[in-house]
Amino acid sequence: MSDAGALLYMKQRELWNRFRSFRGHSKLKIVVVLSFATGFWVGLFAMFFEGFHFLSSNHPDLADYVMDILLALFFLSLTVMLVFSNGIISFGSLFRAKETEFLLAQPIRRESVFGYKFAESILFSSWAFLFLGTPLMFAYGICQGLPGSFYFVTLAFFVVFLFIPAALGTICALLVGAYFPRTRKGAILLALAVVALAGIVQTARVLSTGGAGRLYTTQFMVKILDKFQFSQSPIMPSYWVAEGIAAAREENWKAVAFYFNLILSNSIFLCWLAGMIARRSYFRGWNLCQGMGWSRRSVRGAVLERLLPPWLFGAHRALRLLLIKDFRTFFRDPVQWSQCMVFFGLLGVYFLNLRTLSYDLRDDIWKRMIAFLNLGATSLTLSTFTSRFVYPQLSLEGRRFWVVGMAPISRQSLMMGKFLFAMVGSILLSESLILVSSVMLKLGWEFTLFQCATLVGVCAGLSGLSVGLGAIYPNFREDNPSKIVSGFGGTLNLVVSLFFVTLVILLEALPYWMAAKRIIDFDGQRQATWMAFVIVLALSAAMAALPLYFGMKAFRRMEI
Amino acid sequence: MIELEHVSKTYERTLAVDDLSLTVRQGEFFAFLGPNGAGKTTTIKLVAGLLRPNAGTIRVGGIDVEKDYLAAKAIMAYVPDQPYLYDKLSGREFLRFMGGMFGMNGGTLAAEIDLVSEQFNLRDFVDDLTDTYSHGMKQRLTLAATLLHHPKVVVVDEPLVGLDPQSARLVKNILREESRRGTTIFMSTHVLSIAEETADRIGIIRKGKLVAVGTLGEVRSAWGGDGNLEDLFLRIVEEGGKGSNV
Repeated sequence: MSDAGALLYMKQRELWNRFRSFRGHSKLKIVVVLSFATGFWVGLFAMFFEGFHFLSSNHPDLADYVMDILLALFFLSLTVMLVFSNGIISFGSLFRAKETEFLLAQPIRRESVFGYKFAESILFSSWAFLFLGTPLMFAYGICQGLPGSFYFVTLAFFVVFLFIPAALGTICALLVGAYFPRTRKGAILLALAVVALAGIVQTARVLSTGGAGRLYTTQFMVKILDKFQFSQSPIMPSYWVAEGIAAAREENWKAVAFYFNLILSNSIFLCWLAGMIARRSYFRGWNLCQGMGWSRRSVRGAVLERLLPPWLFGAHRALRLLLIKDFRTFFRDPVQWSQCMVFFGLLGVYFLNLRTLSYDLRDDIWKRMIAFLNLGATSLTLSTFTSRFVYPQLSLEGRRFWVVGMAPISRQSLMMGKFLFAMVGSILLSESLILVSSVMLKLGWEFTLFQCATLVGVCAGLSGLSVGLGAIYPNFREDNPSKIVSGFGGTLNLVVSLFFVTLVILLEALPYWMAAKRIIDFDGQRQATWMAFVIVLALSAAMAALPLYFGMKAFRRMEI
Repeated sequence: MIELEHVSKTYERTLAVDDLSLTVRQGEFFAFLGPNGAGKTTTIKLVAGLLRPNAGTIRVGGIDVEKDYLAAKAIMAYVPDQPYLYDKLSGREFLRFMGGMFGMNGGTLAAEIDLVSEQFNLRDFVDDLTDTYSHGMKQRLTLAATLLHHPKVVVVDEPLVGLDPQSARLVKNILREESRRGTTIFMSTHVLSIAEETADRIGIIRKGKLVAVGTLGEVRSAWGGDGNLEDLFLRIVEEGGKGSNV
């Protein structure tokens, strides 16, 4: 058997066994996962379809122009995300994975190991591309009544294009591993900072287009869209895909063939280049990365001790130590805080620019609707944060459980510690954003307080849900948080979190919407708002308490 | 069969292996001893071709591990301290995969799999997924997989960690038997009694330097005293560079 034959045999048997064990899972689990995937795809499709329909019926003169820019932007953002995800996945699988060490010890060529890991990285990081790209393609095709050949061509473009960001990400990983292994975290942070800065500058440029009285006219739209012209640079592969799809829309087969060949030849060249770089530097990088754990790193810091004095915790002093440990772990892991900074930072830039869009000058009903949208955006971002970082906390404690397990503190206290950590962190992050939004929109103190109180409820609900479900569905065998999150419990947590946030925003915005539509008068709106607020608080309390209660019950019975 | 000539390995600013020269003969059972962090695993990884030395050469069966790693690995087997198995493969599928990587297939491979299954008592669970195995079962499967292609050299890092007495005895006997058949065994271990009982020669490494090497008797006479290996080991490790190699 050749190298490739042996690896293919292993992968094929592994996939088949995975499929067989999936069939053995509970029906509820399969139904939840499949329903979520289908619901997500259908939701995306409906959103894209509605957008395209709105454009072609309200702005037929702009429809094709907007579509071209939209496609170019869509593929540009996906390219950036794919380069990052492929780079990070490739670095981990080429230089840190146990499987790689095992394979490198066997009599197979290092190039084969690289090729196998490269293919794996493409599959891991790129399925999301097809999952996000296909609803866009179907929505556009159906909306425009395009023939079957359009879908076939678009799918072919998607597949050949995938190799470009994958190869670029892997090349970056190879170079970082072989030449800058000591500064790999710094390199990732620097790249993230550059992308975030570019995003912030571009967002600020787009937002500065606004101005009272000129909003939402065709002229305003064209001005806004012009700011996105950078996505249509002919040297960018994302532009080639967008142009290829546009050519397929117009059944211009000559242009389709040109862009397809352009992407294909670049994909082949970049994959060849990745292979050449791997041949020269992969083993060098592997060799250097194996020694990374040898250097010691001293850290000191008493800020958290000062911020959380023992008297604040009374008899529950162990809770204080748990909180300090969790905050320290969070702040010392750049992967965690950098992701938070990017997402919440972008939201912050948008909120700070609300006045540039003259939203503060609009009437009260509109301002409040915008405030609810901002609350929704903050809460949804928060729900991804709790799902990604809080949910796996208890599972990650598994291998270190002897530390807290043998300490004279109850398991309830441990869970409460996780809950408090999540809630304090969430409140600090989100309340500051909502305060900025309220100040920029010049909302009164009463409404600001109302939004802040709602957000406390949302933080409690999301934290309780993540900690509770994390205890009900723990995974003590896995060290990698992203793998813990992608399991059944993690998926359920994300689905319920999104559903909870949507429900809260809809409930609270409903009275204002009804007042705007004159279904109820001012007094009716006040009463309905109070009623909605009470329901939201009760819902948040239940969302925090119930999962925590069942989580604690499961955690008490658990044998680790 | 294994030759290390003036091998050094540095991790960042730490010298993990310091000018190490050593020869292990064909069919010899060599026990490599040393305290934690002394450089045992690094040396083993260098021999297995998983790391590149900063200086010196390593040959296995006369083949330079760095220059012709494929040929060197083809006659070698490496068992790490924490063996890697694919959770979603059965024991038999894992054995087939390992055989495939060493160029075995068809009837020969099937016959060898049956043979090692018998030899390592894998029969009862060889068709189960490996994620259901205990540590001992995993270790036995790993050893079976490494011996499938009849290697000339077996490099094994801490093979007895976490094994119950029965499995430990089985592993020890099989390694001893392989050595009698002419296979060279290079084993690192903390279990001094096993080294004392099975090894033809021992080597003791301290802070990357080989401070003692030879048969137990030779090391004893070089370092003095007539206690057991544990006493001798502790003295050598404490006194370190004061003594000389045999």
